[in-house]
Amino acid sequence: MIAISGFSGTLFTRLRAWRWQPGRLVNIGLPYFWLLLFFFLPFVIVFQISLAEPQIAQPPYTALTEWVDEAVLQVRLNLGNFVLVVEDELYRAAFLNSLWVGLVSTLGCLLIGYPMAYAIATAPERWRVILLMMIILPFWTSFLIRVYAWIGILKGNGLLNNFLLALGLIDEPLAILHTQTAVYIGVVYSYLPFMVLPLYANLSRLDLTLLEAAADLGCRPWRAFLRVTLPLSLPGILAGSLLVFIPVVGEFVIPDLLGGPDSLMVGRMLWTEFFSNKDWPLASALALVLLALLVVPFVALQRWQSRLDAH
Amino acid sequence: MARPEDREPGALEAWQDPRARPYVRIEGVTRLFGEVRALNDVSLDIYQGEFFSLLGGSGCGKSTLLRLLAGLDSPTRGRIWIDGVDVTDIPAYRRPVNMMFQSYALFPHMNVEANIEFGLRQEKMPRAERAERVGEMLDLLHIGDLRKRRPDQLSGGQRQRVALARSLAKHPKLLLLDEPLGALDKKLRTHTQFELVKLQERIGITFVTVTHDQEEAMTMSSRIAVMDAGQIIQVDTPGAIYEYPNSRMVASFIGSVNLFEGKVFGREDNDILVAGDDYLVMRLRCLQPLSLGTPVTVAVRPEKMRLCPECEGPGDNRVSGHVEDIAYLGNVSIYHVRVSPEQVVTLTLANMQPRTEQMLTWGQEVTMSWSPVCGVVLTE
Repeated sequence: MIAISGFSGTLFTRLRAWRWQPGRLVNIGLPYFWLLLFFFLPFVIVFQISLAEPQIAQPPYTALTEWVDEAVLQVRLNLGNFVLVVEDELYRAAFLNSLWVGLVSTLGCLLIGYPMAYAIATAPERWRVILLMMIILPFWTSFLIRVYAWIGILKGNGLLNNFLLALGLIDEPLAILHTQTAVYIGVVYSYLPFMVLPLYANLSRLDLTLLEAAADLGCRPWRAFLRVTLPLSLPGILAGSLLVFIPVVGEFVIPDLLGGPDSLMVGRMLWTEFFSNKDWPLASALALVLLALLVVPFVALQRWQSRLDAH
Repeated sequence: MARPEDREPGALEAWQDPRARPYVRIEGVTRLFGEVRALNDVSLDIYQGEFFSLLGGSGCGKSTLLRLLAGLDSPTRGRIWIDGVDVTDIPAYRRPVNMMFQSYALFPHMNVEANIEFGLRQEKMPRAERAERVGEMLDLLHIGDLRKRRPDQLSGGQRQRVALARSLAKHPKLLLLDEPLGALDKKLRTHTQFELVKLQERIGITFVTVTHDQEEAMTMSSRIAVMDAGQIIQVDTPGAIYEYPNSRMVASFIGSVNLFEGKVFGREDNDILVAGDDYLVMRLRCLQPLSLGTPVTVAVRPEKMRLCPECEGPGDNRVSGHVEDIAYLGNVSIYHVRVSPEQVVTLTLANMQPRTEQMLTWGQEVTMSWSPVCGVVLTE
């Protein structure tokens, strides 16, 4: 969406040039229409709700405008939701915790996903398809079922604890389920493919003669990795990290099912506000602050990358 | 390539001197890739200061041999010495050898300077010394004003120079060049050939190049090893390889050549007499003892043939036919003359007259001759 906004500056000049080619106009207009309909419009609606106040009615929020007199249109903008979201300790903690979980999970996915992607990218051709298949295959099962399966593995008398007890490594079951650890496990497991696939796409394009050149110039394999492979795979790392970080920060299902009372996350609070407390305006404000929190680093990264390319 | 100005007349070249110690010694090297014999029992000596070329078609094993020297691959059997040290088991990153890759393999995320500096950093050279060496390389290859550019901002010729600078920066004992001019266009290639030779003479580092382009090998090399099917067929100076090929393979790989099949039927002093097809009788200088009836191939270069009757000498060989094709190249013209239903002879004549006064036309009957010393007798 950021990339397209840069392109829109020239849109009008282009449209003028293509005035007599309606086919092209449709072609170029369609994605904009799509964005308008499914991104901008919902955004406006959510923004509008966030400025309202909750009420027990249908819809469960007040209108922003009201005719008080024949000719007087009163506009009531309630900024209290935003003030609450920013000032309240609970929400602030939830935001910080969400960002923290996002950060740790992204690092976890990176640490596990990078070697996996590297192994697949350097595997013999006939193995690659099979290995990639193994990464993608879990997607064919419902996300919810896979998260539920982790409950069976992590619970007190679950697979993991029974296994460790049988080995004699522990004397009593570990309490993993309903802790932050379980959330990390679930998140890293679920989002690993989003890290592996872009990294694989990047690493499989790596020119192996560059590594030979590094070796020829006196680099041991490990240093060649640090000085050549790693910097060249930075775009893949970035893409994978964003694909993991952004959805994880707003993640609701995994902390709800695997997390405990301490795993306070924005996604979960959003859910509670919307469906339990029926406070749509507050939930909308939460959603918007979350969006702002995610868009700002994203834009910064884009800026940084384009500056990197310019040099 | 002979460089007369450097040498006393009559002085021995290193490879002719029995006391000279080879700088690179390859001994009985075999490399198997599964069932495929990429190199089959190859032995080769290369001397210090040489500009040595490995020449051959694709799949002949020349690149494999170069990679073995670099340490990027290791031989299945055999040993390799560089400057008296057995390097067979030394990994690439510890060999005193650098390579210029065919694709140049410049690091795309580093600018020219950082690329050149890369190898120096690995050997932990102090910063000041590094900067000095980089400056030296930038000057040597005239790329000083490109120092801050990244590889994708360079032209093909500029990249080639940067790659060369990077591989020379560590002052290697041996520089390996894999098709060094392969990615350049024809005009730049010719120019760069001479530059590369001059550079090598100036810095005195031993060069080993791989090429499939025989013209390139002829121009640049002190010696050439012609390779085929994982083996070295002939090692010699460009002149000797061209004038005295030791086999049909070498004769036809280097330049163009006319081959006549025949059998030895007599000897007169230093010459042998060969009976070819269609009652063709050839007299050739041959000191090799060959028994009567030995099947031989006679190789004659197109430019060694002359048109009769103009310059026929005593004892010259003659063959007649009619002109089938003419290729006008400006300085020379190439004529294809059909001498028998099975054989076309190629004849190269310098265009000493303007084109309008050309001597030969299509279909014309011609007789060509060549002297006994201009044909090479091949038994392999």
